Amino acid sequence: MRMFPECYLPNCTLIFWNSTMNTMELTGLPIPLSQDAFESAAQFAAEQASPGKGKRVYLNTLAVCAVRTYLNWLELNTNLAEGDCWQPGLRAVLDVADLVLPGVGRLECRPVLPGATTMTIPLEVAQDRLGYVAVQFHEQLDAVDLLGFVRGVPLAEDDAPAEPMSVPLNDLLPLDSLLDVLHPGLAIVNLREWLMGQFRHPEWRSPEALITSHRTMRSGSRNTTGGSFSVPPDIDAQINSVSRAKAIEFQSLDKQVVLVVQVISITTEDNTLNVRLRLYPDSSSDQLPRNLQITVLDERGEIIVDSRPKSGSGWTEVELCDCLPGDRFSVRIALGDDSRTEEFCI
Amino acid sequence: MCDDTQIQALLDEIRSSDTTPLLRRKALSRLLLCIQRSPKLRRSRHPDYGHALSLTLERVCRAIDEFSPRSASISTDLMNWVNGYLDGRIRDLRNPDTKIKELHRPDREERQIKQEFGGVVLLDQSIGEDGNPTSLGDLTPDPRQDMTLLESWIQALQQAQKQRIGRDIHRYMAADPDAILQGCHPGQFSECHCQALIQRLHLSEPPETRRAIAQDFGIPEQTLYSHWRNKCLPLLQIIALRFDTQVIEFLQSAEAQALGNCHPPEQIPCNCLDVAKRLLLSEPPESMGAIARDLKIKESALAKHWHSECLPRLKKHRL
Repeated sequence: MRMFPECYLPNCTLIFWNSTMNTMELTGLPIPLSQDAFESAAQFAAEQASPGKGKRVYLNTLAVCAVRTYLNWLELNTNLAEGDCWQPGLRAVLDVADLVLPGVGRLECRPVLPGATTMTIPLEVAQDRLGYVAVQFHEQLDAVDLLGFVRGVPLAEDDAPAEPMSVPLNDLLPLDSLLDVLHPGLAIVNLREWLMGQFRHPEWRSPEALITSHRTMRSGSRNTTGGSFSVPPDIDAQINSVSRAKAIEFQSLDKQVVLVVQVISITTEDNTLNVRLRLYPDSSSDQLPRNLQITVLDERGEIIVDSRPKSGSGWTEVELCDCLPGDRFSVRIALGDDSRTEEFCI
Repeated sequence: MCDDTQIQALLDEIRSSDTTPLLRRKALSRLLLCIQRSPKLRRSRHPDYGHALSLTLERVCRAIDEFSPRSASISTDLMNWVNGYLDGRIRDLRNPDTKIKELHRPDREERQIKQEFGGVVLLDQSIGEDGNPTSLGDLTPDPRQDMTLLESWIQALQQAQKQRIGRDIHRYMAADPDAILQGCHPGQFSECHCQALIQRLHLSEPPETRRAIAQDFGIPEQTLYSHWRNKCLPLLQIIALRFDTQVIEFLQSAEAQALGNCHPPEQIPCNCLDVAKRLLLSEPPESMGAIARDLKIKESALAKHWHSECLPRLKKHRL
């Protein structure tokens, strides 16, 4: 996909849409550790060649048991015994903490020590994973917190990492993202489906439900936003556009911001889509809050485009052009240290 | 802590007939977060309180549709409902007639490790003569001084084991008696063999970086990375499996015959049973390359078949 710099639209008035699902960030979920888990961890650690390796195996085992407990609560089937970390030989030579979900794939459950600021992904687990769950131990070794998730990405031979990867905990996606991965097909917001009138995610609403002024938010045709999606005059193209909106709430803010996503299909020979992402203040204000930032990240969590509205801005926008089928990206809306993340695919 | 409005919204989401399994699980997860953040949640110092709480939260997810608020405060009613079940599980822990008492009971040292985990890991404290952690400034020439409390405890567990697969594998890799690790190297870089890489990446603490090793051997980084990933790591796994008694016993059992049906089209000799036996039971060990040459198949094709078809079946069947 190709990125365009931010541009600005006229203000429009919005109404609130309150959603608990949206406001409560699903991070730091405590999981108690059971004696069964401690017994397995101690048994596996005792088999190792050195105390240091034993400690790694001990913490890996507890991390896997914790994620399994969470998935078991949610009635998601797992099979510990299929994991490499449950094979005596393999866990002795690999730094591995995998959990198999039969028929779905393999998760990696990475232990994070108290006070650590990053999650480490060893080379041997850099591939063949649905993703990586950060499992942070409490100061007292009686429970862990499931901090968040990073998706696994199929890597080409040349792209495979040469050294262990370190993921800042601030960059983790909420656990919603983990659940999305475990429900393929339902998971990520598929923007192409919007163009076909399919809206699977009720939290994404018609802009008419949120926006009192229809002047700038008309669906179904290209509106006059003055954006960058111009059609070359020599192309006989049909333009189709759909917009949906979602209110984003921050605990530190007594107002909301609203993310409006406009999907624009310019039917030409290729099958690309353009996506316009706009942030507006709520109806109680005509300016976006300070310290707001919108960041678009690719599948690997690398920043594609990153924008902060100028002081006093009534709205801000980033655009992704020429998105291809299969492209995936996430949008992080941050207010200071607090952030919300939405994920999309084309 | 969640207020009544938030909890009501979550319950509405969970109980909605329109909700998808995904949205229901997201809402349940948030409800679990609310419950565990509530100061009203019953706590206990019992060493297996975590087990009781886990059973309770599992029950919350299974039986949430049975919860019906009776007072004006849905959050209070929810916590009363949760604590009612949790109280029962905590009573089970204390009841000598239940099977819970059969569970492992942590000893004093294990309890201390759990209580002081954060401190000992972060500060790398070691055990003093009185059994208490000492500060970094108080360290003596005790050989355990570089170890955390947790590592010291694990070391004691390891010393109590007669046989340790981890130690056996490491000794084998360090000695390389069959020269299969030293014999695996990229082209003319004969010193950059798998044993040297395993020594520097797996057996040294802390492990060296691949970049530093590549510079040391004067080998292009990409060549080293590919060699490690495509040759040494698979070899490491095969060695590990050769030490796994359950795998070996399975391969020698009648049950393993089913692996014989799994082979690439038109290539019956490449079936998983025969390949597994040659890789894991042969003495001296046969290499993937030698087997591939014998079967007149490309080594990369055989390796792919082994990893994508044979290894997953082997792991699943032997369990």
